[in-house]
Amino acid sequence: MMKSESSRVTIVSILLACIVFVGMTAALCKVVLLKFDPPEELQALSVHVNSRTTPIGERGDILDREGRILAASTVGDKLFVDPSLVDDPEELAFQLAEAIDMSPAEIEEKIRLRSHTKYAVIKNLLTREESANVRELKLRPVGIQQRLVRTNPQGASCEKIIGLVGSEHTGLAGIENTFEKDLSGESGFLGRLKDSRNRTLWVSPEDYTPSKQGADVQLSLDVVIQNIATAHLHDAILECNAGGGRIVVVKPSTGEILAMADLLNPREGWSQQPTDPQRDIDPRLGRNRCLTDPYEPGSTFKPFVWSVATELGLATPDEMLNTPSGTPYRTPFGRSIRDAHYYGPSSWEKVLIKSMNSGMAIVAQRLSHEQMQNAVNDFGFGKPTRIGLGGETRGILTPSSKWSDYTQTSVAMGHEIAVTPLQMAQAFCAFARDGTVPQLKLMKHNHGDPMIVQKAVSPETTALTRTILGKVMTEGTGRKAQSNLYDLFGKSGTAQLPKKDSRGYFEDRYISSFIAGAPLHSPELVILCVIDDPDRKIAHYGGTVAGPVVRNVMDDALSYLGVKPIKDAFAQVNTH
Amino acid sequence: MTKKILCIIMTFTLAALALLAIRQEQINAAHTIVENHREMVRLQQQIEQIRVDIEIATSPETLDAQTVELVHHDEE
Repeated sequence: MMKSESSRVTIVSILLACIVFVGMTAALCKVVLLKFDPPEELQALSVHVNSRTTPIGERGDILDREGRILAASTVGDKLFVDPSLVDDPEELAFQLAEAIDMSPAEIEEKIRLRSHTKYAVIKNLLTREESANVRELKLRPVGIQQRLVRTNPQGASCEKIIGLVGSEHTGLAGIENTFEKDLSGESGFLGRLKDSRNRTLWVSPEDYTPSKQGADVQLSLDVVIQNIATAHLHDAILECNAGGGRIVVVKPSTGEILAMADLLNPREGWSQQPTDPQRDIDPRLGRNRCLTDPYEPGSTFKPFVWSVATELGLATPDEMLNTPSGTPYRTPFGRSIRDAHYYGPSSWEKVLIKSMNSGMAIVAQRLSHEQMQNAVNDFGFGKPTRIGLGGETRGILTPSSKWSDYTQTSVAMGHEIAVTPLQMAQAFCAFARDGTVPQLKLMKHNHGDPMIVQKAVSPETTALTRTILGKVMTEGTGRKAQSNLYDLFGKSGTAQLPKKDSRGYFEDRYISSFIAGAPLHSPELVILCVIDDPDRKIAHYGGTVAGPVVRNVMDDALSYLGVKPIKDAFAQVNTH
Repeated sequence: MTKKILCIIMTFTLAALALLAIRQEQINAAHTIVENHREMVRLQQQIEQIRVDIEIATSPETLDAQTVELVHHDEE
């Protein structure tokens, strides 16, 4: 009995084992068949089981000195269609046109133009609403692809300095280009095994590399001061119908550039207009004339020669010079030098206050050529400031081999030399400091960062020059630019516009400029404004055209920075 | 003997089921991780967008324009 039962169990077990074996073998055969020769209806439904995606490595932000975003990357949506999956382009175009702001005809044309491919871009950047609309449609040939979008939230005032990125999100111009290595991010990689419903089955550790975000770059610029400077410059250009204008605001204690603007005003019927064809393509591609285009500084150059001559003991402030009373001064080598006004014999101090060309020429002849060339070099002229932006020029300086007595007297008046606005602002910082010229920088200066400076004149001469430049604002050519709030020290310049195609200058066209620092006793800012070719019928003197711009920007910027006004504006208004 | 065979079959079955359950859990975990990662990236992008929107809304240029608009409105 026991034996027969045991044999039955054995038979059942063997049978079961056989059934399982046959079943397993059949299943295995089916798997092999499905793998190597799947039926056509299943082939259509099959999907790639491996998915590879590249998580986007975002570009770093560009920030101003207070941490405001000047440029940032966000992710936008690009709309594309796979034309190979489209049966009726017209119908699809009508469906899409309802979701995005485009005409059906335009959409259809884009699909038909790339009908032989699997990728036709319909719209490069969708709005959030459009993106949601397209997603709702759930159309099979339609896809949404993520793309990086570079945004400048602060508007147009800073865009020329920031520059722009190209379609590959790499910097093409400006800061975007200069700091490309720091700003650019690295895309990652994610490979995964997925099922037919796109659910992840597996991710191997070696199949995942996280994306790297680019580093942020913090600039020395201040958006508020940049806006103030741009607005005042814009108004002044329109007011005097000038061809353009440039302005630079520098913090002399650190050499940081707080604002830098360059505007053009296309005027009809004017020859030799300042132009920039790149700006027509994109304003951000245009050159920044504050560092590319040198100009003749005119009388704004006099303080540099004045301070060096004083430092060398070749003239003292109260020394009386034999400046002419009514006719132009004639140099020993026969050059005739005109003054705007003739004051008769004047002190060396008065020469700077009243901006007398004759007095400058008299003392310039006491300097050797080498001394004058050294003075020009010590203030940083003739070499680029190296702030890091592309296209910077070194200005134009007569080579020492061609330096003549004529050059010597010309340079003393700011002629026969061309400087960039950046060089000029940098050099003037010496008078706002202790006679040292700081390295200009476009990156924020952090406490403890080393300062690179070059000595130009002694602190004593600097203090003396600054005092005289303060008198320029009360007794000299800067009176119209004096502020009601702060004591300024500055100098105006009105240089004739050089002709481009021939030697010589226009008789009635000028480059008007004004440079100043404030407050007089503890300077916080140095501002230079250059107005290109103002309409002479309206105004043309540097003190009248560019001076008020410097004063207005100085007042607004210092107030914004919290610098206490030295003068009581209300009291002054009441007195007047 | 039968008991032994049944015991072996049961053990193997249980082991296979446990392995299957572990495998399924692994798949679920991988899926959840990828989904969470995607959500994280999406939220990060959303935060970036909001940061930029705030910056645009509070930029001096926008505020100036709004001030001018308000002044005009008051004058009217």
